[in-house]
Amino acid sequence: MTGAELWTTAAVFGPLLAALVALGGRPWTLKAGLALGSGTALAGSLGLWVEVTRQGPVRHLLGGWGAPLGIELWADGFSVAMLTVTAVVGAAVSLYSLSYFGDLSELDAGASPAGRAARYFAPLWLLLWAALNGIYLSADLFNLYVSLEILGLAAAALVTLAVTPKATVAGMRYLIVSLVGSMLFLLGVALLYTEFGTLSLEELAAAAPAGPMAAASLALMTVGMAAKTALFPLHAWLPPAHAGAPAPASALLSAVVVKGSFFILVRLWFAVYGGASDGGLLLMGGLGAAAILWGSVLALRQRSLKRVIAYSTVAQLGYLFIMFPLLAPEGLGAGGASGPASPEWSDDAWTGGILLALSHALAKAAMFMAAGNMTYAVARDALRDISGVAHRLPMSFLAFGLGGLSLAGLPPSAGFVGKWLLLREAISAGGWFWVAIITIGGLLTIAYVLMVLRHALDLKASSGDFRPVPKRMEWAALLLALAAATLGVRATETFQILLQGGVTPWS
Amino acid sequence: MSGPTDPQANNATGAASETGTGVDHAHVRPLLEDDGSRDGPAILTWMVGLLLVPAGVLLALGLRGAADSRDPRIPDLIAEHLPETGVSNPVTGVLLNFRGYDTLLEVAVLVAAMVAVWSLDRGQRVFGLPAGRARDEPVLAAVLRLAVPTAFLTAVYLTWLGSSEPAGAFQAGALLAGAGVLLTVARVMRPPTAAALPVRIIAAGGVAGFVVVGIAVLPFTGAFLAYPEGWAYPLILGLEAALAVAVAVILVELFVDVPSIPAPDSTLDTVDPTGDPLGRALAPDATPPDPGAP
Repeated sequence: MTGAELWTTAAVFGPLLAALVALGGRPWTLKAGLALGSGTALAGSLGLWVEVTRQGPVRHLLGGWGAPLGIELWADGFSVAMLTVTAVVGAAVSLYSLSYFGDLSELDAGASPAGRAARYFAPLWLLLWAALNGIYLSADLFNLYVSLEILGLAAAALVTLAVTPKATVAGMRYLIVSLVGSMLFLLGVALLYTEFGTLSLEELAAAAPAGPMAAASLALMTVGMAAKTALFPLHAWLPPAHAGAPAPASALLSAVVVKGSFFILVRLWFAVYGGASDGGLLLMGGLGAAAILWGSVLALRQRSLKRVIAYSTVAQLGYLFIMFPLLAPEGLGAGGASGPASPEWSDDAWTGGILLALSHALAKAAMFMAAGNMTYAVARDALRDISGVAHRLPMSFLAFGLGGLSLAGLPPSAGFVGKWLLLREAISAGGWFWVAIITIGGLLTIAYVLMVLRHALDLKASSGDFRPVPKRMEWAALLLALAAATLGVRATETFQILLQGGVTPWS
Repeated sequence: MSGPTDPQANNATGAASETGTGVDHAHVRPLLEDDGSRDGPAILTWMVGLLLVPAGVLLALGLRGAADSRDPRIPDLIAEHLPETGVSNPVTGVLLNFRGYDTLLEVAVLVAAMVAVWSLDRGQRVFGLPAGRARDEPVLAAVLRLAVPTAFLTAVYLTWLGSSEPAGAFQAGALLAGAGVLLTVARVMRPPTAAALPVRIIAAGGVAGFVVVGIAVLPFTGAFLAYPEGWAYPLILGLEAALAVAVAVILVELFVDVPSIPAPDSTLDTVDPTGDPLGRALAPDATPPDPGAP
């Protein structure tokens, strides 16, 4: 047994076992489950970070068989980066949830909506965590599908922990979208297996899928995963679901859950399909651009705090897809001509794009937790209701502002470094359209962040009714926001890990 | 800062099964009412249809001749390594050995579904039982005396048989669940509930067993779920047994422990749609739920 086997086991099966512990339903089992899950996920991701930095991508032959007969867990830099940010965000939100759901010793009442939510948040989130880590370490198509099913079920249930009728309907719609997405993915998997006779991503990459069957299955899987990632125009389910969920669930769904299906899309398009076609990459980038504009404009038009942040997620996810065409910069000039993409991948676009995904996870979790603190304090969610809350909750106000700073891409945040790298790539490739989109998106982000901050500072409209917010909830939000705002200073380590394996780890 | 007390929900859990009225369907509002008013213009439907035509053609092109181009590599590999798996049924070999990790996650999917359903509990179940006892109805009692022991025996046999013939934990679990549902609806067995710790332990036992075995063999064989030489058969048999019972309990739970959505729980009607997602008011006693509400 080497480090690879130990740490991958910890990352996937630690949270899974923790979920079963948390199912005990007693206050101590909930705490023990969250502690066990956070501990194993953090240890697993940090252990893998060290292993992968030292010796490049590592694998764990589950059952001792190896592909194609068995299933392998596989970690490269991309996996490790996603695992780590999930562990950091997950641990912070787990801590936050201990206070958010109220006094856990009143669980046995079990009758109040808050008591019920407290009882089920931990097991659902830990199952979700195991599924996410499973996705990041998966090297097998069918295994990805099974993990996606756990992810979808648990994520929808996290939304319906909220008792408002709107949230119940939003959660149900999320479940349906999620199931349809998984079914499309499964159909694509079946087609690929029929054609190439293997489920292993590595073997598929070696087979260099091409032809009508490969194209059809990529299209099916892309639509399915785009729906789960809420890529424009399949985003309509996201704002009501993410805005309606209880605050810790909102933070997790927006920050880390949508990244699971994004990860699968990147793996499929680049690691397995080698970039597919330039036209396809441009299409994905175009949808990302539309998401940035549409999501940002709608964020500006919202009247409720959490819906602003939810639409911001739609917009920020768009940036992750702008990475697609920029990764193959030579295809930009071709203007949509199809054909195999250039094998020369842009390191700038890769590190910049993934760094944006990581910084969005930290910043968005911080912002949703800060917003959760504000709405918790006034028990209302409309923007005018949080008037003056900045004076009561300076830490949460600061956390929201720092998170917004990172989203907008101001230095020294990781958002700045990520956007700057994407911009540099776009400029050097002559993609002025992308330069314009990235810039306009940043300005719109500043606009809607300032809109929220203005309301929070407006002391005159404050009603004065206020519920004290537990300090732990304020600290959790602030620490993540600080991490997002300063990750840019320590970006070098992240670049090093992301280049372990890089865009196409199996070529 | 606790949630408001909620006396209504306390009585609701038992109410449906005790009063004998069963389900009040009028209260169970359809979740996504569709009167067609939200449908887009017809042209949109046609455009989507037109888009699907090239997709269908692409699929047909791809599938043409796919049936006879079956790659025999994996079936051959399975046949070659089957003797090392400890079982002689190739399906069980794949499920519990070659791809045991997938099976582990599939049982976790079942657990996730069960927890998701439990989490929807708003204090009242849809599933209601008519009043009366099975022993008052001779035909029902006779059928139960025949069917339940037969189902139980067959389930044990199927679990055992799985290692060599087409059978196994999932089939056995489904059969056991059938017996459980029969006993519940015949009012011989009280419906299991999420609150019962034994239910939770048994339901979690399938995944827990898998993970514990997987980790326990790790120091000896260097890989998760890699059974040590000579241990494969007993471990697989033990896992199959735990899985069969877990699958049965989860399926019975999913059948009988179903909450209504949205709940006809009157306390939820007072929830402020723009307020706290958990329905907590600013001051705990600002809007006390009305315990006498119908």
